[in-house]
Amino acid sequence: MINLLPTSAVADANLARLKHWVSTFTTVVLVGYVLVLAGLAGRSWYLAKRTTTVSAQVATLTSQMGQLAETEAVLRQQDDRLKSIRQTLDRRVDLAQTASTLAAANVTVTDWEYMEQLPPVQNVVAVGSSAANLEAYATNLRYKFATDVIKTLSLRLDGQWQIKLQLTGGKP
Amino acid sequence: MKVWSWVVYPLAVVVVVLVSANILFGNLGLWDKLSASQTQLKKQAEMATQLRAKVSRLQSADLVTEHQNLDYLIQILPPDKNLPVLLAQIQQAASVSGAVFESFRGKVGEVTASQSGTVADALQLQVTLQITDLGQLQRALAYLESSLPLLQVKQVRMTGTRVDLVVEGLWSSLAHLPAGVEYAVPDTSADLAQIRGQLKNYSTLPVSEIPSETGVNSTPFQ
Repeated sequence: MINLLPTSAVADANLARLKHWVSTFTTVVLVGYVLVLAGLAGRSWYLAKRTTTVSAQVATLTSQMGQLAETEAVLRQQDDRLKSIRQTLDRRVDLAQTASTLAAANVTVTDWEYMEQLPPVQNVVAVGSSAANLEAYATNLRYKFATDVIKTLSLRLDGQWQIKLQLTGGKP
Repeated sequence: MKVWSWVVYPLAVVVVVLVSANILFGNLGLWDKLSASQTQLKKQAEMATQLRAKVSRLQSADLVTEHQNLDYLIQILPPDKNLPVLLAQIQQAASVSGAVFESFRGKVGEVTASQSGTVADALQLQVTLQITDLGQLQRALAYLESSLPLLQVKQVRMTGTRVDLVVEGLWSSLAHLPAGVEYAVPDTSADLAQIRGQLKNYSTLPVSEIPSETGVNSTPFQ
């Protein structure tokens, strides 16, 4: 009769090692699994507790916000209005300063037209007793407004010189 | 049979792990719940932080002072069109400069504002002044441009002693500001101080010149 069971001492030792290894590995896995579960349970408990605390804080703060709603509305309206005012002041052209720039000695401005558009265009008519003065006036305006100037110089019937200027671009 | 009994322990562990893991993370969705509650907590914590900052900022503000500040800003940029005040400003400018306020015409359109408070129309007047020289016009413009409520001279047409001005009274309706935790409460003190500094030399109409709303047709134009 042939005996198929491992009966040798080596086979027994190998089987015992395998049993020991499997048992140890299983225990490690089980302990690890239990630890992970415990960790997750702890985390879940912590999150639940923390959520309750934070929710209570949010509720309290929301209630305080309700009491301070008027202050918030006033402050935000202020901010909105400040932005509008700033925008208005930034884009506004100082026409009083422009008029002041147009005035010059020996030259009388008779006509002035300014229209708010892009690029800004100004039409100026000035008279003076000397053509040279008017030429200098035109050059001066070109420099001060940093703009292009189209000029037409003419002699009037009353003997006065007249210059028509069109100032385009630049900053009035 | 006794020979294989050592396999029972690892098999039992494998079965317990698989079954319990399937129940916990599969059927009960423990992992999803944990993730969801973590996300929820993060959101709540962020909201609490924002609310705390807002409450702290609001508690430090004095409501009476802030109302006064808003009133000042409304004086600079009114929330609605005020034709009588604009006319009074122009009359005052003419008076101060020595010009003669000859006539005016204009159009007051419908007041419409979008949700963001953007002004859809304007209060514009075409004004005719009689002047003696450019200096007088310059003084009138200087008064208008340093006058409160803010206005803007859009067009100047001076022909000899006659000046046609297009003057726009600036206004901006009170904005419809949405409520919500995510909207921070701005610190306006620095901007307010800057505007106060910039406009400190601006003049307001003398009290006697401020027209009463009573009996005034605020929309005389069609």
